[in-house]
Amino acid sequence: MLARVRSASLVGVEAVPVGVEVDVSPGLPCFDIVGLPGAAVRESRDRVRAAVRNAGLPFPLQRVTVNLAPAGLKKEGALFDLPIALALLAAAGVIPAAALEGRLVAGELSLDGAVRPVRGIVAVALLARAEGAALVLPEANLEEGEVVEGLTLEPVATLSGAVELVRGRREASGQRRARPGPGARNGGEEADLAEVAGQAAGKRALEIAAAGGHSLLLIGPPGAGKTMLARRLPSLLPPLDREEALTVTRIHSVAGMLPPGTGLLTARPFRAPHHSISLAGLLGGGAGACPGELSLAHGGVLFLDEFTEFPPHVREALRQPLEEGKLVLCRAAVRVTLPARALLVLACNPCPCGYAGDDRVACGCRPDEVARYRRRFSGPLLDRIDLAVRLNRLSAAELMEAGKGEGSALVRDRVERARARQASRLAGEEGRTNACLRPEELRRWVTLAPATRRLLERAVDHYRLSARGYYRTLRVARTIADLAGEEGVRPEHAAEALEYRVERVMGRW
Amino acid sequence: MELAALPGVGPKVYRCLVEAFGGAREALAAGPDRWRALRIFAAAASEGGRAEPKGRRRGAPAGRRTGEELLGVAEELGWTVLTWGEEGYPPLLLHTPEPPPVLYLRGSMVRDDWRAIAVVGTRRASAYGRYQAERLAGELAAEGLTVVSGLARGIDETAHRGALEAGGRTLAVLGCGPDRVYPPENAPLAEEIAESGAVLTEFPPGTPPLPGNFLWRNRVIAGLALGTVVVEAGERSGALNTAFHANDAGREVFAVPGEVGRPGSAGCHLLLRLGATLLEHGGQVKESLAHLLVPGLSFGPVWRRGPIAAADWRSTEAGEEGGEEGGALAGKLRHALREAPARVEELASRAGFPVSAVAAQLVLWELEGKVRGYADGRVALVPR
Repeated sequence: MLARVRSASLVGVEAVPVGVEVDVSPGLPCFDIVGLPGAAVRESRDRVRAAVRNAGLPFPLQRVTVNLAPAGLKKEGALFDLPIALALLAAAGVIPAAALEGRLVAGELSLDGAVRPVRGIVAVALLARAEGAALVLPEANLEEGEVVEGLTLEPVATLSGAVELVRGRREASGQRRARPGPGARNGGEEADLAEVAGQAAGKRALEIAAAGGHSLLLIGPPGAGKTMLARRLPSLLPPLDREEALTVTRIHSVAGMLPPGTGLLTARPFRAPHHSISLAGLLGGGAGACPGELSLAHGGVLFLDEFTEFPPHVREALRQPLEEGKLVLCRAAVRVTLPARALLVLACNPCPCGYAGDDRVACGCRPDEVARYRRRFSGPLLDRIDLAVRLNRLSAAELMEAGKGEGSALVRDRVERARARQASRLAGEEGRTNACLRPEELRRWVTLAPATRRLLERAVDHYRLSARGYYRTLRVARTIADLAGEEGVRPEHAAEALEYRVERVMGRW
Repeated sequence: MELAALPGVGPKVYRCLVEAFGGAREALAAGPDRWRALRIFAAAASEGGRAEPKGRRRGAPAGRRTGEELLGVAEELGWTVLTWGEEGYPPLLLHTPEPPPVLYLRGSMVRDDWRAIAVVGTRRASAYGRYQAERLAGELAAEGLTVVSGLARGIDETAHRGALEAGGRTLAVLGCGPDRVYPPENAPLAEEIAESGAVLTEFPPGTPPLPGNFLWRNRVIAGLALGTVVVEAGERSGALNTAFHANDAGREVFAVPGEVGRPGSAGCHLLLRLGATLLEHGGQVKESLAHLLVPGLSFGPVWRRGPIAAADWRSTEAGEEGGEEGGALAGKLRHALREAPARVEELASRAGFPVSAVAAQLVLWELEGKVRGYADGRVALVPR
């Protein structure tokens, strides 16, 4: 006898429909899975057999063939355990096959028949909603599934529970628990900008970066407060709106990064991978094209501390996604687009020993060593960094000032107003900020007064700005004007933008 | 020339040989055996220069080249050659313990080039150091003095530039052969120097820029000048070496003080403790060397410019953004900048304005050439 149930496989951050077909026919008892199963799926065989028996259900002593359609797609993950078990029981006549219709099933089985949580439930729920099916999901994933509205969720804790459910003996638990209200910050208490002493220029650069989504380079000796500043950047960003939050939650769900019991993520992500990260770790990879750190930081901040220590190919790989806000992963079997619009913050020392330009500690590096160190920033990469600021170690007196500066809330208020101005210009495109303005948009939105134009002409000459560098300045100037609440870009806005150009901190010492 | 280019033949050996045989040509003709007989030892003595290059002229290409060959190479590169006793050989240099027997020269030296002051310092220059080097070199040049330095990164190159920009003469002494410029990025600067002043080296063509060469070259920098100004130097800076050479040659040593506790100040302060003259303005050099710089002799053209003319600043204030706040900011900021080169934050707190406004004003001034930003984050006034 044959039974079918719908399930899903993850490709990138999308779930694609997969049909699970089980045929039970006379013959020597065996259990085969076909349809390009990955390692975890192939092992599903043993889990399903044990779980069915331990749940006190009969396992057919016949020839069992499982097919995962479409056959050409490689299936990864343990979420096929539950659909295979249910289809198997339906094919064996334990449960009515018709009961599986209109349901999409995902869940991992443990040997005792318990249903364990799986990753990617948000994406699977979105698919179920699109297909008009009810979603049978592990109970531990319920909060995650509830992120998607307008869909019937049927949480199950055990295989026997699932059998009861499809036999109709148990009410589908459509009940929804209270979930965190919109805007609740579930990322834990955030560090506040007021805790940072001094560093007025660093704070200002942080504010501009937050307002316009500009990439930022912090350069300074050890202990200057690079990490401290960067960690406070999320606190300057407005909370995620519903659409962004759904995307962020989906990415984290697919990567298996949602802590159990977490619903919609509303805090902006802050990712700070160590410099030993691999290319796949940063961009994503594997057979299912699992998102990497860059995508996990989508909508939030990607902080690369000690940037010069990252492997060169990892550093350079940032170039394209930085501009496009998304990432196209091409692997032999899959080609997926991952969201990757993160605010990039790089931090590094000014030289190998770290103390070039410091007031109190002598730099022990030879000039050629420093030059070689600087060369780790390739020209094309530097060209894509909008803001750069030099940080210095504070004197004792400056350190005492901690807690006296502006708090994050105040700055966030300005940032939100600047972002609102941008949103009204760039209506309709989610999450785009001044940092992603294209040249033709720049011409349209950045109106230069004659004085500003003269200033910029002079600057192009004096600083030998490249075309990209010029546009970069315009974008930053646009953001500074937005922060000031002005439509036109005044000379002082452009001048301030020039102050934060990257050549300023990478030049002579 | 041929003799001087031999490995192991430094100024002392050269002098002994020339004095013993009555001339370089005669010494060469006499050959190593007779040198040895006179107890004059040179690595070259052991068979035609095949021996391991040793001593001060390390890294010179092995093999013996005749004087004609060396002269040919130098002239092809556009250099001329000066030797001891020849007219045009810098007289001050001759009066040092170990003057180089041969000087390769590009550009021109003039009679008045003995009125020279060396300006040297660290390669890891801070904004303050660069500012002082440029200012002092400019002031010295305006006094009609020739500025000597080593074309190195940092203070040296800034000193050359300062002198050139003030329209003065400057001499650069290399630590490698005339066929190359080290550091390479200063090649355009070397060209510029050769046009109005001269680039010099004692090393024969083909000598690579080895660390020891620079220390040895420092005595030429010190020897060419009446006095040496050390602008910014760490405790182990090569600039101190130049200062000691200057002292050995009986020349004046000046040091520009820095902030106490900053690494770049340690060397200068050491010199001051050892008795160097503290230098604040270019004019003070002339004061302390008045006995040497005999008045009445004609100096070169004098471009004397005051410190910073108030009129220049006024033009900015009256400029486009001559608003009330702009004016107040400009005034305060200018005042803050006069104290010392500083970072944007320091300037902002000194002037009492937000960082954003100060940053913007500084860029406007930078575009007008009034201030200059450095990568350590400091901004300094451009000396005039």
